[in-house]
Amino acid sequence: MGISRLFDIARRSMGVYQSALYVTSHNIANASNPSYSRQRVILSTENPELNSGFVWGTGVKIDDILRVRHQFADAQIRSNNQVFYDNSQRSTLLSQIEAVFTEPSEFGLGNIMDEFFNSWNELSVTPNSPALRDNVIQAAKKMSGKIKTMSDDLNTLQSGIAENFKGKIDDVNTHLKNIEMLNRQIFEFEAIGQNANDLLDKRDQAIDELSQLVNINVTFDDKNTAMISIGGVYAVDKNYSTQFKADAENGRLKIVSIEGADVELSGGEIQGLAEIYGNKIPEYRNKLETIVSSLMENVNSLHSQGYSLHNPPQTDIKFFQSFIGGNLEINSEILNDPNFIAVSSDGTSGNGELALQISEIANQKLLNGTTLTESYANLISGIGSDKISADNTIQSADLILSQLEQEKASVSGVSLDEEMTNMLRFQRSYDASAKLIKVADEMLQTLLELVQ
Amino acid sequence: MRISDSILGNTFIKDLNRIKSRVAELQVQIATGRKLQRPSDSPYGTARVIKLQSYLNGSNLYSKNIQNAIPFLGETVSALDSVSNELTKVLSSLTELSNPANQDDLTIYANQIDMALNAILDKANSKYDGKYLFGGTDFSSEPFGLSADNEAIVVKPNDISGEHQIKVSPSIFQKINLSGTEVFGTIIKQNGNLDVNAAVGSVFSNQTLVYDAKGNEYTLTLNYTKTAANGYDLNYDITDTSGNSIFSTLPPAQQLLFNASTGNLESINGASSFSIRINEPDSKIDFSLDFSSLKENNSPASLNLSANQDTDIFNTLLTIKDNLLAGIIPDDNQIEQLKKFNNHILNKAAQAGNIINQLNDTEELLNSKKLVTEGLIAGEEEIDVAKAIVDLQQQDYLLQVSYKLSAMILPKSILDLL
Repeated sequence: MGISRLFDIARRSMGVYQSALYVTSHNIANASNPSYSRQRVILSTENPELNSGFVWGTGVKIDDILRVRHQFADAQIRSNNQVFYDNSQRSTLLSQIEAVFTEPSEFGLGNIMDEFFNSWNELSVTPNSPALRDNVIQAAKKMSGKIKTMSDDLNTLQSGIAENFKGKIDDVNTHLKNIEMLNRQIFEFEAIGQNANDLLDKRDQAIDELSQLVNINVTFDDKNTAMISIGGVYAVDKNYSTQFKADAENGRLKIVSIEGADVELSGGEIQGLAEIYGNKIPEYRNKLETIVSSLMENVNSLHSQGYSLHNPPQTDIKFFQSFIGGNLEINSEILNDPNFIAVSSDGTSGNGELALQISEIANQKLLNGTTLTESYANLISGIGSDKISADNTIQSADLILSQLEQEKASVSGVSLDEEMTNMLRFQRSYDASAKLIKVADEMLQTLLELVQ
Repeated sequence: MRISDSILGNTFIKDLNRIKSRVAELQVQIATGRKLQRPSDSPYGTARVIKLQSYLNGSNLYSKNIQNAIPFLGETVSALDSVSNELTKVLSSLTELSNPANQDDLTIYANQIDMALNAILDKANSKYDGKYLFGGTDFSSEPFGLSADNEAIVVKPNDISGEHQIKVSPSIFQKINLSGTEVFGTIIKQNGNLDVNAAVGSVFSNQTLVYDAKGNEYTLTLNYTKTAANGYDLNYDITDTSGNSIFSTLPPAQQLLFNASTGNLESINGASSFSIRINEPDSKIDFSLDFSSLKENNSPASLNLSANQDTDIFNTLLTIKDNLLAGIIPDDNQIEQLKKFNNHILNKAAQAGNIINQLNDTEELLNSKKLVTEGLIAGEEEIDVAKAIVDLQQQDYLLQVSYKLSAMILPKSILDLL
C-alpha cells in the first residue's frame, strides 16, 4: 500500500466536499423558492479494500442527492386545496352578488318596495291628486329600474363566470401538457440513473396548481410517473394527456374532455364557478322573480277592478304590462296619462279604496306564509348565509392548509442556519483533505530525500 | 420540530395579514358608523334590519297620513263652526221676529236668512287641498247647488256619502271625513228586527213619512219578502198623498242577506255597504236608507223607521225665506228643526274634534314606536364606536408587537455571528 493512496483518498474527499458545497449553495440559492424541496447529500464510505489481511477504508463517496419531501403532506395539501379554492371562488362571487343587492341600505329593493306600496297608501288619501298619481308612477319606475339593474347585474356576473370558467379550463389544459412533458423528462432522467429532483419539484408545483383549479386524483407508478384523473376522467400520464373544454347544459356549466367524457366536478375553483353559475344565481333569481311576479299579479288583480279618473271612468286596466326577463314593464297608457291609474272602487274621483287595498299587499302573507318584504329579507339573509358558510369552510381549510404547509416547510424548507453550518462543515472537511494532500506530499518528499 | 426559514416568514406574514384585515374591518366600521356593510356581516341582522326598516317606513307613512288628515279635519271643524254661527244668527233673528213689533218689514229678515243660507251653502261646498269637505268621495263638482228649476237646493253629484279612510297603524283605519250625507243629508234609519223563524214567502212591511225639498209629504213603504233562510228581497215605493207612486217603474228588489249565527246584516246585493241612496231629482226627493241596525233574530218581526230630519237645512231655510217674502212668519216646528239641526252640527263638529284628538294620540304613539324601532335598527346596524376604537387600539398594539418581534427575529441568522 503506497503513499499514493493518501493522495487518492484526499483527492476524492475534496471532490465529494466540493460537490456537497454545490448542493448547499443550491439550497441557499433556493431558500426563498416556495416550491423548492431542500436537497441533502448522502455521504457513505467508499468500498473497502482487503490488503495484508486487513480491510482498509478507501475514503468517502456521494451516495445520493436526496430531495427531502413530505409525501403525506403533499396529498393532504392537494385534497384541501380543492376545498379551499372551491369555497374561496364561491366567497368572491357571493360577495359580488351581495353587492348586486345593495342591502342593507336605502338603495335596496326592500326599501324601494316599501316606497312603492307607501305611494299607493298616500294616493288613497287624495286619489285625484295628479302629484300623488305621479308619485306612484315614479315609485313604480324606481322599483322596476332596480329590478332590471339587479337582473342585468346577475346576467353580467354569469357571463363573467362563464368566461372565467373557460379561462380556468385553458389553465387546466396547460398544466396537463406541462405535467405530461415533466413526466416524460423525469422518466428519462431516472432511466439513466440520473437525479430528477428539480423536475420533481416543478411537477409537484404543477400538480398543486392543478388541484387548486379542479378536483384531481393523483397516483404514482413505480417509475415515479404521476397519473392524474380529473373528476373520473383519465387526464395525463407520461405518454398521454387529454384536453378539456367548457360546455353548457340546462343553464349549467360543465367540463368535458375532447373525447366527450363528462367531468364530475367536486372541488377547485372551477367547481366554485360552476356552482355559483348553475345553482346559486338561478336560485336567487328565481326567488326574486317569484316575489316580483307575485307583486305584479296582486297589484294587477286589484288595479283591474278599479276605475280610472276619466269621464266616463274606465276599468279593467292593468298597472303592470308584463314581467319578462327581469323587465317589469309599467302599462304604457298609465305612463302617458296618470289618470289611467284606477283606484276608485265605485267610479267616483275621490274613492281610493283600491289604492288602499294595493298598499295592503305589502302586509299580506302571499308567499308560503310570508309577506313580500319578509320573503325578500329571507332571500338576502340566504345569500349572506351562503357567503358565511363558504367563508367558514375557507377558514377551516386555510387552517388545515397552513398546518400542512408548515409541516411541509418543516421537512422540505431550507434553513439558512443549517446550510451555513453545513457549509462550514464541508469547508472544514475540504480544508482537512487538502491538508492531507500536503502531508502526503511531505511524506513523499521525506522519502525522496532519503534516496538522495 | 425542524424550523426552516420559510416557516418563520410564513407565520409572520399570516399573522400580519390576520391583524391587518381585522384593522381594515374596524377602520371601515368606524368610518361608516355601521357594522352591517353587507348581508354576510350578519344574515339574520340584515333580514331584521330590512323588516324593521319596512316597519319604520310604514310608521313614517302613517305619521304623514295623520299630518295630512289633521288640517283637513281642522278645516271641517271650522266650516261646521261657521255653519253653527250662521244658524245661531238665524235663530236669533227668528226670535226677534216672534215680537209683533218686529214684523213690519219681513223682507229684511228674508234677506238675512238668504245671506245665512248662502254662507252655509258656501261652507258646505268648501274645499281643502282639492277635496270637498262634505263631498264624500266625489270631487268632480260642488256637492250642493240649486236645482235646474232654481226652486230647491239639491245634491249635485251622484253620491256624497263616501268615506275617506286613512291607515294609521298596520291594522287600524281611521275615517277622516264627515260625508255630506252625514252632515247635511236626510238619513232614514231602519230599526228593529226580522223573524228568523218566519216561513219563506212571509212579507214584513213598515212605512214612514218622507218630505221633498219643498216640504211636501210622501209615504215611504218598505216590504221585506223572505226568499230563503237568512235571505230577503226588499221592495220599496214612495207615494204622494193621493197614493200615486213617484216611480214610473218600481225600483228592482234589493237582496238582503243576514249572518246565520250573529243575525247581523251581511250584505245588500252582495256588497257590504248597508245604505241605499234614494235620489229622485224630478220629485226633489233625496235621502239615504240606513240598514246597519237591522237584525234577524228569534223574536217576532218588529220594524220601525226613523229620520234624522224631515227636510234638509238648505231647503228649510229656503222655505222660511220664501214664506217671509210672502208675509208668512215661520212656525214653531220650523224653528225647532233649525235648533235640532244646529245641535246636530255641533255634535258633528265635536265628532271631528274627537277624531283630531284621536289622531294626535295615535301620532304620539307612533312617534314613540318609531323611536323604539330606530333604536332596534341602530342596535343591529350601527357600531358601538367606543368599543370599536378600543378594539382598533388593541389590534394596533398587536400589529406593533408583531412588527417589533419580526424585526428582531427575521433578519438574524448564524451569518451574523460568523
